[in-house]
Amino acid sequence: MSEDAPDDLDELRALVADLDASAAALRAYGEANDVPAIERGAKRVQGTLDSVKQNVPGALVRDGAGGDDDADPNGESGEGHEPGR
Amino acid sequence: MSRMWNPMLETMDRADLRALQVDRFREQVRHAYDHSPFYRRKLDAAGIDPDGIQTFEDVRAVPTTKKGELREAQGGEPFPYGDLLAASPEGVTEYHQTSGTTGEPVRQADSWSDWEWWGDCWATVLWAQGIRPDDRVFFPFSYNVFVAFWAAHYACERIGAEVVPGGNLSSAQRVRKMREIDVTAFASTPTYALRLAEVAREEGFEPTDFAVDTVVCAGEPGASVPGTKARIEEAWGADVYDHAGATEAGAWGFSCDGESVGLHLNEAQFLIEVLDEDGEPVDPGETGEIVITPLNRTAQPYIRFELRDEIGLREGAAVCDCGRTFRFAEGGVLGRLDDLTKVNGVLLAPTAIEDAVRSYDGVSDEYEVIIDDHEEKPDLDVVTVVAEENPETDVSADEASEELRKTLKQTTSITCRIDVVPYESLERPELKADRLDDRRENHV
Repeated sequence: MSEDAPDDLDELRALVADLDASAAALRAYGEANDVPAIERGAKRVQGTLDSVKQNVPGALVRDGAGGDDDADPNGESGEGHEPGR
Repeated sequence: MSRMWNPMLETMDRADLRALQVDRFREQVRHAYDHSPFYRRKLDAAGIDPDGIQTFEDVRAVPTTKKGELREAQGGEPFPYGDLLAASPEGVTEYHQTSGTTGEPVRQADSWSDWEWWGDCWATVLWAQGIRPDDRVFFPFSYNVFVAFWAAHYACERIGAEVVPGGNLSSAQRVRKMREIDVTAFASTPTYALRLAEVAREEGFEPTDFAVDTVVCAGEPGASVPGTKARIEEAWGADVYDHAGATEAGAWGFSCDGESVGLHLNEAQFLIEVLDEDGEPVDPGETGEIVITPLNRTAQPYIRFELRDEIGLREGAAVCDCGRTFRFAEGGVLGRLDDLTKVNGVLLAPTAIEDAVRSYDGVSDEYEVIIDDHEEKPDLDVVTVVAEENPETDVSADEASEELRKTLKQTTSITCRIDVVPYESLERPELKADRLDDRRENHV
């Protein structure tokens, strides 16, 4: 096993959370600076990451995952909604 | 919202862009040298040290790659890509191949990161042409081993637009689907964009009543041929855009929503050299052949590939009002060097005939060109343009023949025979059209 591999599930979840935070920051940069290649690329990373989370027990699925999180089709904030948990 | 997919790259200062190109070219050559035996042999034979590439002069010392070399290399091991392959076979995730118009098809291996790169290049194209997340984009083509439009499909996903795959449907089913779900854009060859409009009318629809406001063309130069572009715009009541690419190279050129007719060269992802017959760079304002290096390929890289496309190079802020700093191909791809042919000593570009036919309302969209030996004078060639009557005008076949003959004489300097035949006499191609039938026996 590679030395970089996490030792346990907590560490695995933390890695996923770090990636999620990085993707969100990239996306925010793209939006703020009007660079669709960064904003849309980061959104794609978030989509891929969602499928990784679904394979990690206990990993939090991002609010609005799987759709356009600019819009809430249910008219709800989604706050507190943690599918997959 | 930005008019550009990546304004950081598309408006980059020219000096910075050139430095970026040399850096990425060096990395690409290093990758090819380290992972592809084909390129290692080639570069060793030329005495090229990848790390020594520091200037454009160094770039030009690197040998070019010809299509014939690719075919030869792919005849060897490992099957099916030969030692062009610069990745492990397990690293290949996408198979495509060229259409084989000029010989045996070349197989194209792409890794996952290559395929992401393809999508990003196409996203640059589509975003420049107004495709946005609220678009519903239809792809009326047969999804198969040819790369055409596959990457555009995935670029739409990347943009966030809704993709409607229209493969394995008849043309009539396609236009009905486009109408039913209010498609806002579609991508096709120029030939097929015109054919779909024709089928829509046959199905009782008026294409201009559709929700389509954007037509993205690829595969043929038509959307940069003024006569063809105007016909597609009129048929669909939509903006029509051009794109240029190749299986070996990727999507390297695109028109935009600015005031220009031609293609921006995507110089952030490709090093595009425009060279004269001696292999020297042409100046802006001149015409030359493209030698291209995709700058971010891994599984099957191409180093200074001779694309055989000819363009008229332009540069500077005056070429387009969009703000891009990329150089520009005025009028799009002027011709494939493989398509140019000499007729009675005069160089004939098929696009010149296309523009003459499509700019004249007295004939319909379809046509073909036959070049043959003169029956009595063996030293002479005869060019016959077969065009169809236009059922929407009352121009007679004789009038149309005379008008086209005069126009072609003016634009090509060749006296052509014109044969105007009844509407729908000619075959309707559904992808690329092969309209030139060269029957000369002793022509080289």
